[in-house]
Amino acid sequence: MSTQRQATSASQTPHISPAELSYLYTSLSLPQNPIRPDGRSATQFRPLTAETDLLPGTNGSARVGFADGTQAIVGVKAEVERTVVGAAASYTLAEADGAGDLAGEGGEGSGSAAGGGAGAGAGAGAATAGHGSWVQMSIEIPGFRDDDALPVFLAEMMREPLVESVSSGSKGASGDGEKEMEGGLKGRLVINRRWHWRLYIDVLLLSQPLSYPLPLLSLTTHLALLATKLPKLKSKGEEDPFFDDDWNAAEYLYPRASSSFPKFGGSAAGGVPPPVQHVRPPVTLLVIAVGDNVIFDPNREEIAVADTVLAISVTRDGGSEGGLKLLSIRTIDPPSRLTQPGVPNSENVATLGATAGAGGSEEQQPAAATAVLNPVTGEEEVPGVWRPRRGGVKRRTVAKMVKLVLEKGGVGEEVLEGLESVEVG
Amino acid sequence: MASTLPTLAIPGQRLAPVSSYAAGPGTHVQNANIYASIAGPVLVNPASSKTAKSTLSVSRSPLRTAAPAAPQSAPKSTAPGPSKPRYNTLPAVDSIVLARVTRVQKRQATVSILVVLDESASNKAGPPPTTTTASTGGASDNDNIEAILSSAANPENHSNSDELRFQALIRKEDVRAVEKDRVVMDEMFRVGDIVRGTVISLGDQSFYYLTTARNDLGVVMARSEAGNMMFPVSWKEMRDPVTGAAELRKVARPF
Amino acid sequence: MPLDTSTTYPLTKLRLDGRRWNELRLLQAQISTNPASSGSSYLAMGNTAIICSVHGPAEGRRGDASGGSAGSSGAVVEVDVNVAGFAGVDRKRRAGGSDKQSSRIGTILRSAFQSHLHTYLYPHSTISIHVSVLSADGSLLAAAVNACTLALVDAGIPMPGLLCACTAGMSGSASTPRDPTNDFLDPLLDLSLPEEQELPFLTVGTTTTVPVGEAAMIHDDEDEMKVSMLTMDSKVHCSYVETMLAVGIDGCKQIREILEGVIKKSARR
Repeated sequence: MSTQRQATSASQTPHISPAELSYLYTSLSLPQNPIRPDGRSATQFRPLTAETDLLPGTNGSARVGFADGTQAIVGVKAEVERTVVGAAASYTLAEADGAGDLAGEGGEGSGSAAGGGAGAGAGAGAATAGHGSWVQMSIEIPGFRDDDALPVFLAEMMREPLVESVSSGSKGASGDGEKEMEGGLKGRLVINRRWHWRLYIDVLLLSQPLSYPLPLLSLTTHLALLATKLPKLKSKGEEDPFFDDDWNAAEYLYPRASSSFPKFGGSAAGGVPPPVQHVRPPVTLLVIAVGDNVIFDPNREEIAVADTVLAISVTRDGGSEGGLKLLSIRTIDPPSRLTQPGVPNSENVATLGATAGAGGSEEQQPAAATAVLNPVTGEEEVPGVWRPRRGGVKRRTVAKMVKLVLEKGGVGEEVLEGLESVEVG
Repeated sequence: MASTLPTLAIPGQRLAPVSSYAAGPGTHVQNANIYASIAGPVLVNPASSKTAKSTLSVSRSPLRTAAPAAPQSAPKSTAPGPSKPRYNTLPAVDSIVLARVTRVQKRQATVSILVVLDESASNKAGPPPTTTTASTGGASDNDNIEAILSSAANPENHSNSDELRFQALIRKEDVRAVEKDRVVMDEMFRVGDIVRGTVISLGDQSFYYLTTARNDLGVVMARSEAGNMMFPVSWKEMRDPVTGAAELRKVARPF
Repeated sequence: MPLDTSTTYPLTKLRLDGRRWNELRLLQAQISTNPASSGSSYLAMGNTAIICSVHGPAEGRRGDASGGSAGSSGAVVEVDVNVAGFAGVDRKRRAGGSDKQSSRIGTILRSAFQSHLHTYLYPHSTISIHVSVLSADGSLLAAAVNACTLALVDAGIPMPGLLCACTAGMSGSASTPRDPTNDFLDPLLDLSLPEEQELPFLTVGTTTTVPVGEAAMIHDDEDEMKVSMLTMDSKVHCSYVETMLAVGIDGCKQIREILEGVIKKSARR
């Protein structure tokens, strides 16, 4: 565990001196408008390159490259799998029926209407709701084994909001598109009561993580899932599934509001503007707070002085007129805790002689005059002297961060719209 | 012959026979021909004298920098490449360095390299330059050798920046050229001495290897036990001007 | 599978993907794809796609006990091969570390480039190569060699020539001695995955020097392809090996020309 911690923190903490840390902190915490090292505004993201559908052998894929040179590739593969929960009841019935075989399905009898009805009592809940374990995620980071703590932790951190992304709240929403996403991603994976899709999401980080890789991996996964298509189902109801060979007829995993999806645009979509895609995979954003400022897409140096680092997962939910929905907030141990503190002149043994020489009466004065109470941390600080951040996060800060992400026209929407413009053809 | 030179070389491409050019960086010689080792534009550095051949080298830079109008006219690019730097920030084999002794053990002394002395100056003058002749102008490290040495010889400054400098070892057998087996390290160096040495090997990851086995190499500055600067009296002895006490050192020939 | 090469090829003289016997698949490549590494490349041979990045030459890791003695004469080449879970037709989950195939490719790549590069210029250092297979459709090793060569050129690591690799196979099992009077088997170039699975094949890597200008005309005969790498996992009668080798070397020549074009294009840009 300790080696793991070293590995992650070492990859994040740049070698900068306490004086530089202090300078950076001061400029980032300037009231109202922080000055960032690269001149961005607080909510501005670094440029990134993205492409989708680059791997022919996957259901969906995406590549995202950040400005600092880190790149990730995500491939999504889907496989048909027999549903175990609730299958027991219908399975026996299906065998008893011995109904007609379907090509390629190994002689499994297709469940008759009666069999389906009987199985429904036991398996209905599981079958319509889907199951979280149907989505598997694995992350490859060079230099890490894939059962190391960091990849496993990151994978779980991303899988969780993904699986939980749409709650039952969307059930009441209008529009066929939402109906299709009923029950969220889990629900979408249900083919019928006995069969479901299993989704494998493989994330490949192509270079050593320079900064905390979560936002990169999340954005890439988001794009890959948007580009993911599943073959069009030709069988009906409780039959064993078989699919349309034509890849052009395949349907997007996340149905989209394009003209190629006529039933969505035609029906009662209400006052919602058609180009807005209703249900989107979640996106995890890295947000830091420095002083009273909230800063998005921090680079490595900025994370190093952050008071708070939060990973906020949001998604667009059909339920609230295209509004955003908060899925999860996780705090990430800010690497600033591990930095070396600076020593103020008043405590420095080496410079004490010089101060003493000036006069005994003044010796106590400078320290008392310069020490300021930091309103955020509640600690006494000497300006220009770096102190590692300690202590928890103020509720006010968290609320502010979340608000900035979620509000209409806020950063979250901006990111989702930006990603939409990457769209696949 | 120059007309056959390609503007852009690819590894393995034959550039010219060795009879017409000398092989420079980025090239290798095989079967009396110069071949490119890396990809990039071919550069010709004209010979410094009439007798010598022009040097053919392959530069690597334009592959990375997106300069659209990179001067591809290789035969005409007569501008000499970056002139040889007058001093090196990195020690190389045979470079003369000044180092401070940080640790003396039975078999070796550990030193930290303070400054790498000007190689061209040391070559032309035979014996390496003293602190006064080393100032060759420009913003080189050598300009403030005096400052470095005076601060380095001050015992209070020891070990505050040693870990930032290049570490080197002087092995017992590299201390002097004669009577190598009778060397007692304690009688050669003391911690804090300033030693002039020459690099014999880049060593391993952590240490360079130095030798002082020459008359002009050895301790150049040392303080006595009383803390006074000593002056050399023989090749193995230095004396304190205040107390008059003599101490043993492997002394560099003074100038 | 009803559509296999050994049954349909004698009839049509066309392979599964419609190529003739001596045709390469479409080869596309890019270099300097990843700014965070010393050198990087993307290479696609048909549906086989590989990303390769090179780091170094850099100081070896301190933890390496072998670093002191092994690297004293020259740089050590480290190769790490990772076949993505989504690379194949079916999604493959590897347990823990790496599987047999990728570690085998890594070993071959390491020994090939360790002896190929001018490692003596960089004592006590490490050149680490990271190969990611994004999509696997045959000729994996050959594609990896080509991708590594491009990435190493991009990293500016000196080498005597481009190392290019290609696969060559026979259009049948070729387990009996060759009959010169009734020779119905053709050699095949650049095998795809289905072909690799049913036919005997070898992977050959060559390096060479490029003839240029007048010198090319004078010493034309000196510029031969040198085979620097040869590996074969399947069984074939020895009378066919020469044919396969000749076709493979010819394929390497074609690949070298393509790679040269890629390097020149990116250098001009």
